[in-house]
Amino acid sequence: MTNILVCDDDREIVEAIEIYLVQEGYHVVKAYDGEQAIAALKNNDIQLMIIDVMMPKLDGIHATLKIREYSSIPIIILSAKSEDADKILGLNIGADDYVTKPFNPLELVARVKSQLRRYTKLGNLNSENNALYRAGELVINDDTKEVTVEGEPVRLTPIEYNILLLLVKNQGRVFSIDQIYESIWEEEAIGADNTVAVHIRHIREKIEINPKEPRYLKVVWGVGYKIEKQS
Amino acid sequence: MKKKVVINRGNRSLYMFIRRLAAAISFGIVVFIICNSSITIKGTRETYQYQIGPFDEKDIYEKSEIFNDILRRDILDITRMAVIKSQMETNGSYNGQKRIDVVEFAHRQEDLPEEQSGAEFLLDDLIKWGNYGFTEETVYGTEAELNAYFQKGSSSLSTYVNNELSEDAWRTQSSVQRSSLQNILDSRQEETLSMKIINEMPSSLEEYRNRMEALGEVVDESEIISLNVLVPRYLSADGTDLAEYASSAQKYVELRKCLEIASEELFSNFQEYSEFKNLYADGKTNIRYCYRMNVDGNIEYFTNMEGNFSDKDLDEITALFKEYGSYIVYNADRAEMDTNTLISVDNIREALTYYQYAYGDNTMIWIAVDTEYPVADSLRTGRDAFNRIMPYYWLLVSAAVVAGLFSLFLFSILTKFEGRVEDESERGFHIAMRKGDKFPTEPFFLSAAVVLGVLGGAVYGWNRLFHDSYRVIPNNEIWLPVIAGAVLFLFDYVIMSFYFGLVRRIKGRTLWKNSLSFIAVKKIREWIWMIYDNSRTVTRAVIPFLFLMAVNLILGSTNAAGIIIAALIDMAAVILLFRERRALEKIVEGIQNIRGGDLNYKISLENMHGENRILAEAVNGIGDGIKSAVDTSMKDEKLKADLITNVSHDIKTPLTSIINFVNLLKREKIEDERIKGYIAVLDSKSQRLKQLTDDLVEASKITSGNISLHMERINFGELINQTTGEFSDKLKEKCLQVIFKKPEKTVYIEADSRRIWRVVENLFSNVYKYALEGTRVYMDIKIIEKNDRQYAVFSMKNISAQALNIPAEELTERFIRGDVSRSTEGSGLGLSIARSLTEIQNGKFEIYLDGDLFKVLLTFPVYEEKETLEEI
Repeated sequence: MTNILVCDDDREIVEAIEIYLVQEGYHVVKAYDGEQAIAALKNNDIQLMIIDVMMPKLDGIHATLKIREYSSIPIIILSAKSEDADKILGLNIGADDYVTKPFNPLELVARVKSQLRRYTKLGNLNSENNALYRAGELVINDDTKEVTVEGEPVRLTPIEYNILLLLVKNQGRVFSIDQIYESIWEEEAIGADNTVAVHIRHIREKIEINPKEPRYLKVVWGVGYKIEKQS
Repeated sequence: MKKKVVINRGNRSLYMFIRRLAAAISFGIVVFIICNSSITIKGTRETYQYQIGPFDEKDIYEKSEIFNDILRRDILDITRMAVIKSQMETNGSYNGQKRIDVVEFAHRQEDLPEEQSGAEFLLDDLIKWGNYGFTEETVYGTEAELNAYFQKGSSSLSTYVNNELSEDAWRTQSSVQRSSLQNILDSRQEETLSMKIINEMPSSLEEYRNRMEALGEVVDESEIISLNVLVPRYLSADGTDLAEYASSAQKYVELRKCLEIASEELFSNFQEYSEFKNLYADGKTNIRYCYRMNVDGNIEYFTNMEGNFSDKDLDEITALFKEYGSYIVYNADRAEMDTNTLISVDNIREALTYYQYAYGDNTMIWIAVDTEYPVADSLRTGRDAFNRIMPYYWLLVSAAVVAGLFSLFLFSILTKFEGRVEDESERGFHIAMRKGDKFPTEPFFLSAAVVLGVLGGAVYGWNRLFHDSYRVIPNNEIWLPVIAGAVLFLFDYVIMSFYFGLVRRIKGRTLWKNSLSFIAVKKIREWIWMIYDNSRTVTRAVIPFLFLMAVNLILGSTNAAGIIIAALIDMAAVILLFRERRALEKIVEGIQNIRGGDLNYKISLENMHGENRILAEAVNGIGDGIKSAVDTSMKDEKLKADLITNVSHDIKTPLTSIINFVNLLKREKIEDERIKGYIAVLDSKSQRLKQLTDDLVEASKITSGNISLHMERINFGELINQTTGEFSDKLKEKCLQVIFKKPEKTVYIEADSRRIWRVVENLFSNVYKYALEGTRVYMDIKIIEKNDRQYAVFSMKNISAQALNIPAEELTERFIRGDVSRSTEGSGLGLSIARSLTEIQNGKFEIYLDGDLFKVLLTFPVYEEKETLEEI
């Protein structure tokens, strides 16, 4: 049984999240401020915590900081603060993910799943295979031409697969449309149009939880595309 | 009781009139005193004026200055007349046959031993000769030659034509008689020695030389002398020519001169004698006199009294004279005088000095004045005047002084109160100007000077007239003082008008202020200030330039050193100009920096002077001012943005619940299509609300400047392709065909990649939302050159699904959408955000509407390799 701590001062939000998570088969422990959250964490065996930032008594940021002193469970911050600085702050103090309100509940569930997979299955992956390329939870087995994201297989067209493979192979490097076109189609990119961009879009829709905020395949606008090098 | 501080107009006029009248009276009295204390009396040779001394005893005329002055003059005249009589008369009557030794007469006043040449002429002849004048002829010859004439001895000619002359005959002679007499003389002249000399000797040097040449003799010219020979009009009493008496040429000259002097003086004396011999005659004067004189060795008496004094004893005569009120008895021998007058011995001596020769040791003078004054003569005139003025003299003087002082007193009072006008002030008055006081000072003074000059001139002229004619004006006339007073009264009016005008001007302190000079000075000063204020360039540039030019001209025209000094001064001036110029450039640079947005830029004040420093400080101040204004406005914007952000946060939390529960509803198996429809509306609207809050936050953040940019090199074409790729599905959904014309060369611009993506994304989103389905969207990128810079222009054209019924500019205003009534999704902030984001990235965002054609132009500067990336 997986216990998930949901902490928000808005009881309806907690209730809604609980409904979604219970439907997915998780057990939910509820808390309505930072102190309750810490207490709940002590009293229960919690595998993942979803915590709001703006709360009475102890806010999410400080609660996260305290929890991180003794626990390494995945923490997803749920906040109405959508600015970059807020996201960066949240991730830097030890949160594993940052979801802005108002959120799509299904996306939240997907992210919860993703975090739990990483938390529970980390280190179980076979890294012996030479044809295995990985970028975080994105794994490409070039022998079987299989692509999995957090263990879930993804179906890609050959061109999509080739593009993703190229980017994963050269993690961190930015490829321009022309470069990608030339490597994949193996012909000069004269007047290369948006073909590559359309493919990239499709890939993102398949491998990302939220294609607008990709975790793997990032768009460097006006320059090209890259797979973020995963630490 | 308040002290009186003003005199009213009426009183002023009254005081003025009284003062004027007093002054006129005083002046009239003074004139009266002056007129009446002087008398004029016609004497023998001139008219004399006598003054009544103010300190004389007022009731005794004989003790007064004037009496003695008149008497003194009379004594002088009588003495002189006695001498002349002694010359002209023998035994009390004129004697023309008197023989006069010309040498003796000419030298009579000298104390030389008496020299008698024997050249005696008749008195008549000498007087006549003096009257006719002398004719001389000049001859030339050596001294020896001329002397030779005089050594020949007396001429044999001794015929004397006696032309009987009575006393006045020479005057009454008819011209016929005269000419006949002349003929006789002429005929005899030929035979005289004088004529002989004149005839024989050459009358000019030339003639003398010619004569000598003819004779063959050589004469040293220096030895030649000239001799003036008197043409003999009369012969001596002995019928001899004057030349005959001379023993040499030199002696002749002396004789001639003596004759001429004697002749002229006797003629002059004769004139006086004939005119005045009876002036002091008995019955014509109140003076009695008797002169006892020694004439030609005889004792003679000259008197105007009856009787023969020669018989009388001296004491007897003295006693006779002492019977009169005033007497003088003078004994020349003993140099003593007995008198009851103020006449001193010195006065008598003075009178006798000139005639000392005539008044020898035996001279006695008796003079007496009949103090009854039976005869109207000078002494009586004097007495009348004296008696008329003296009793009242001091009274009049006192009156004049009192009137004068009174006038002066009123004058000072009037001066003190002049111009005062009563008011409510502390002093109780102020100084008021009259109409005429507005007249400028200089013309005022000029007119005063002219008027006073005219008045002075009139007085002077009248005085001159008065002076010339006062001999005939009786002294006791009253009209002169009256006229004088009246004239003063009138003059006073004019003079006082000016005086009080001046007083008012001084008191009112308008003397200087109201002057033409002041106006001129003021005007000039204003002019100078005007030049200084309005054209500082003139004073700052032209005057130093002129000064420099003058220095150059002066020094340059001196010498080498001067030229070097001038060159050094010029160099200094050039350096100054250079520095000035450099400072100005720094200021301009500063202004441009501030204008360019660098509000923290400060112009260095180092080496800045004068106006440049002021200017630089002002520019720095402007920078600070703008900065603070901008800061304030930024702060306000930020506050607004913060507010919007906070509000949106608060909206987001309930929105989250709504979305969550709507989603839960969607998951319920609801059969009812109506309810399903409701839920779909809820879903879409909650999503829209989400979008709206996000856009709102973003828009406010951008406009408040609360956003950081990371400028980098962006491949514009790539960006468009990427975006097109991202929107491919959506565009396909609306059957929109994108036609993108990429430039041949890759176009790089400088921008923040995520922000420019937002811009382009918004444009595409806009196309997705509002473009007419099934149409084509045209896009291209062009390079244009403007102001030496390259710009990349991206244009995007599509056909709007709805008619665009609002101006293009309003499309980018917040919450404005093409059609207000349209209810499709969109916050209305898309284009506004796009524009704001473009602008903060130094780009330009333009929208053009042409019917249903919607066109967007995005302009960004082309990335230049040299430029370093900067953060704003």
